[in-house]
Amino acid sequence: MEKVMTINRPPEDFAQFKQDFADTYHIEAMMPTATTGKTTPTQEIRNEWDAWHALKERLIACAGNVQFGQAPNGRGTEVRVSFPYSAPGGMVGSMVAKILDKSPEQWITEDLRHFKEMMEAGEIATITGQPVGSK
Amino acid sequence: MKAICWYGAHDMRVENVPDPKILNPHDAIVKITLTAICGSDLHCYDGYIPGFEKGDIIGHEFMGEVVEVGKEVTKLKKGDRVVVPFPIACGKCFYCQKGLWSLCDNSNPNAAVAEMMYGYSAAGLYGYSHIYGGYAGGQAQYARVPFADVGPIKIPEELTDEQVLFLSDIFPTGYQAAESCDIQKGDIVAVWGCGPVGQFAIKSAYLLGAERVIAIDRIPERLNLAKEKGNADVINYEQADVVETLRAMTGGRGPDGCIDGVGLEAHGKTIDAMFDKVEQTLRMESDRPTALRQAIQACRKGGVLSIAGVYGGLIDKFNLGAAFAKGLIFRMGQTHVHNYLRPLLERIQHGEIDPSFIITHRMGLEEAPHGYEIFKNKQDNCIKVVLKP
Repeated sequence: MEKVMTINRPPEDFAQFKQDFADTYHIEAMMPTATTGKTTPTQEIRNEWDAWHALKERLIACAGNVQFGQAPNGRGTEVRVSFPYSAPGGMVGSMVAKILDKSPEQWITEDLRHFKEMMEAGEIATITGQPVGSK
Repeated sequence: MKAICWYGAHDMRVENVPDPKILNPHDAIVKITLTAICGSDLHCYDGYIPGFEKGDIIGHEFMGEVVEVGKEVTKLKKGDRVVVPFPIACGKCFYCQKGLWSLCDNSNPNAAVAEMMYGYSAAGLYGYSHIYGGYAGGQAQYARVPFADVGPIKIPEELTDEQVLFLSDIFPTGYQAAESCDIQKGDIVAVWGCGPVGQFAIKSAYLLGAERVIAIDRIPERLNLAKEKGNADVINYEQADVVETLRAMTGGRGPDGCIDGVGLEAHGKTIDAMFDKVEQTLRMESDRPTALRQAIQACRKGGVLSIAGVYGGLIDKFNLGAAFAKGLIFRMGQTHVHNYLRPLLERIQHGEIDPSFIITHRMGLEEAPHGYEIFKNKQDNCIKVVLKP
């Protein structure tokens, strides 16, 4: 399965993340259980690196990959994530869905969107904590 | 604080709720000095906009005084008097940078839901359901304003709240609708709907150089306002065949630009309007496009259909064949308000227009439920209700 979003920043702004993923993947290949399961979906995201770490750790946990490509005519960078599809009955899919009530695809899409929001807007849109009338 | 909260169709309540807080570093908190009920709020009032939850604070036309700013806000400070545009925009994504503010990529926390419905998510909006982000609205004493450096415009002291409040939505909406018609010298523009947006579309069409504006409605006081304050020629669609009357009034050509200022709750007596009413009641069709169909039929060949009225779902019996045969250009969407704040404020300052002309009812915030009722039912000659918190 693949998801892609275009982020309105030039490709050179992603070089550090590309390197970090390659470094982490290399470490994971040597120590396959090092970070599996460490994903914390509710980890607070305060900056670009927090958002990147959330996406990266989810991808590592799902044996996924990420590529950064130039979007046409100065439109930014296409960030393409790919991960093996886990059928609902599969171990990873059912475990994650049972605990977190979202599929890996939905989680990864959300992490990618949060990364885009941090890289472009400097914050993640939220309404958590806003006032509301009695239910 | 007090706020107007949605509790179901025709059930708006005045509730005591916590004051809003800074949630993100680019937020500001505004103490609201004036707000209004929009015609598009009536679609929420009537239960046609999905994605509301009981207790949601409604309202998206508001202004006031900045009382607190987040740590990344640099252009606003405590005490500034601002009007807040109704789409929430980050200023940094592709769409914002192209001036397509109501299509912002980064301001809808429920983007996944909007994507499922519409393919891609547009900007978050104040007080307009969780499909558009679920943001608490501005029919309240205070509001949290995200991306405060991007949206709000500071207002000079010499202008009253009533003169500038409508910069938040309906004046730019009418203006964008008219601008979308690409008005040339000699053009005649027809406007369906003489509610507040229609009234501003009429004024704006003349500001943009229309030769003549023809306004269509059925409510006498709205037609009168269009004629007396808008200098429009008027058609009462309950008394005339709109398409044929427009043909006669335009030398047989049809209007060059047609503005739909009505949206999804159109009325009519034609057979298609009757079908719409039945289908909408049975939930077989979510929107009633009577005005839109008429505009398509009436528009001259190669003309522009400019849709300012809100649509949310699916329509039936859409005369796409007529639109195709005549090569019509369709332009539509939520207003890119940010583009119009400064130029329209200047027009107000220069005395070219006083937007307060459309206000018919002024009341306190706590009277909002009554305001909704008279606005919805067009009672007491109601055209526009403003609310003072």
